[in-house]
Amino acid sequence: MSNIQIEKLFNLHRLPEGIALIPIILYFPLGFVLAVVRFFIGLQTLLISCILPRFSPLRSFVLRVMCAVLGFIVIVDEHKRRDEKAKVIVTNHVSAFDHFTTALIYPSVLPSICELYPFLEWILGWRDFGFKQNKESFLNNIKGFCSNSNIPLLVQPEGTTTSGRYGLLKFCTWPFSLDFPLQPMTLHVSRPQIFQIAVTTLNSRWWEDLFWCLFVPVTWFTIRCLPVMEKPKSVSAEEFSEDVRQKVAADLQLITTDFTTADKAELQKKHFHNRFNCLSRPQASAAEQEDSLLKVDPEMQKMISQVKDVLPNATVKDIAQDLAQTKDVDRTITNILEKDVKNEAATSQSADTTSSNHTSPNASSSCVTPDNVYKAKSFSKSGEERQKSLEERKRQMLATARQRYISKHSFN
Amino acid sequence: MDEIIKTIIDIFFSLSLSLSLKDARALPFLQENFGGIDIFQDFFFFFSLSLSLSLVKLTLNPPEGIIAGPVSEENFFEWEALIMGPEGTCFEGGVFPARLMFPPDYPLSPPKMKFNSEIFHPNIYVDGRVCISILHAPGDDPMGYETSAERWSPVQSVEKILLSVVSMLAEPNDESAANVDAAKTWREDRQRFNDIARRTVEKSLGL
Repeated sequence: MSNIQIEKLFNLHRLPEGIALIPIILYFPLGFVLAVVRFFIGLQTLLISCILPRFSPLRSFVLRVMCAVLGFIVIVDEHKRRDEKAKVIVTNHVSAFDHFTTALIYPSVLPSICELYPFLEWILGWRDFGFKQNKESFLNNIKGFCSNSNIPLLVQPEGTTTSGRYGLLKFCTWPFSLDFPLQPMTLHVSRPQIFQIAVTTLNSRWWEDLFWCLFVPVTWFTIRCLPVMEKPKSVSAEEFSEDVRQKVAADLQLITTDFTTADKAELQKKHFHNRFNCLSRPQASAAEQEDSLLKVDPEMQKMISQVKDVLPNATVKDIAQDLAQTKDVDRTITNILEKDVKNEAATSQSADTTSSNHTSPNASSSCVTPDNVYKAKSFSKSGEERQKSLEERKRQMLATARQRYISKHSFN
Repeated sequence: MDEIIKTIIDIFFSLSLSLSLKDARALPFLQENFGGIDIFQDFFFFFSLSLSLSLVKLTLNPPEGIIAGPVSEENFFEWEALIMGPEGTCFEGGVFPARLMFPPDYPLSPPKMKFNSEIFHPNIYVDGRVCISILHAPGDDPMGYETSAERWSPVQSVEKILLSVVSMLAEPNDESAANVDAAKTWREDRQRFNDIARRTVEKSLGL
């Protein structure tokens, strides 16, 4: 299982290469107009979804028709397996619209995981269960909701989207510790053969996904219900989640992988950096590059100010130079700190050799400015050295304060 | 938009920082229970990092007369601080050691602060505990004098706490007294208060 490459789980590029690109280019003018028109129809749809009562069959029907116009066609498979008693629906995650499309058929509530305006949450059908406070109250809120309400809860335990063509990410376990019967569903997204445009890519935003959905004539969302599963008392939440995951994977003919959301985030970061590097490499000289980065790129400026905030002694030029190479705030901070430590070691060594009888005890770790500021020259990576520097500064402050007090009050 | 970009940078920055400083007590908990949900992780890290960020700032660019850092490498949630008595006040010249205890859910709850040496001050309990509004969660108000604006909130930093303590030393607030005796002396017999303060200062310097 370890030899699976994580890249395979995601679409790295939205558009295909080679011959498959030709129909898309030919279709582009039409598709673009279609997308614009559909965008306005989409606004109407949103309005309708606000006006019609939530969770009513009428609303589902109207929205389903409207969404068909927008190119979202939702197909349900094995509908008879749907059991109203199953209060938790578990699905895989293949696009940003999973909840939306599922809710067209099976009105449901998605526990919101980030701070949103209540109004926006209401439109999206999300609900705040106190996710940010702590795990227990969150689970209690959810349990309370499940036992009181008729509306099922939709959970996407993968936590983030995949291409849905190769494998499943690891599931998080909290939905499986709820002790309610739960209904796994599988989602599958497809588009006409001639338009091989990926629904989501590794780094895509939801509005990009939306544009391409409006652009292609149709996108089919197939929802298939799997038999309801209930957690046996003897099985732990992890084992149960694994069990459900196997069922979902088997139905979609995918493999289960050991990757988690964190791995995806790591990959995203890596790819983002690669792209950034490719963009900035063609520039001629380093100075020019730095200059242009400083002037052109507001993000770069933000990063520089971020570093500057932590390391007020470093010059903007140094920071910019380092950032141009690393594209990473914390790496730059580490680099600059390391450089400082090296320089310091060099200077203190030379000071030792030239005037060994004149070295002050505090030369290496700290410096005192006249106005009672005791700061370390560098923020060492090793905790031991930081501790040493802290002790040193404390000793120094006490000594200076004592001396000052004595001279001021002329103690003997 | 600017705000969003800034927040994102903050998140990434603090994430790696808190990891490198072993400040991410929440990490195993998160991975175990919410492994799939990235926004939550970012959110949590954004706050959990603030302790590491505070440390870096306080080490490299501390405010006047303040030194602070963790007591030991192993326990990132207990800090010690040295605070100099502000100039031009009766505590001028003194160096007062204090402990800062951060709760596990910092920064959602405020830290506790306690002076190791005895200080005769209206806002410091006899056992050294500091009583200022920034260290109180908006919910509890023992004295009933504080507006919620000056209370603890997760955006307050360690630096801000220490600065508030310095200004508390400079200007005691005898309305919400923790040490009634000290408050009375401060109000009625300033001369005696100054004498006691001077003795405290000398004691803190070991003179």
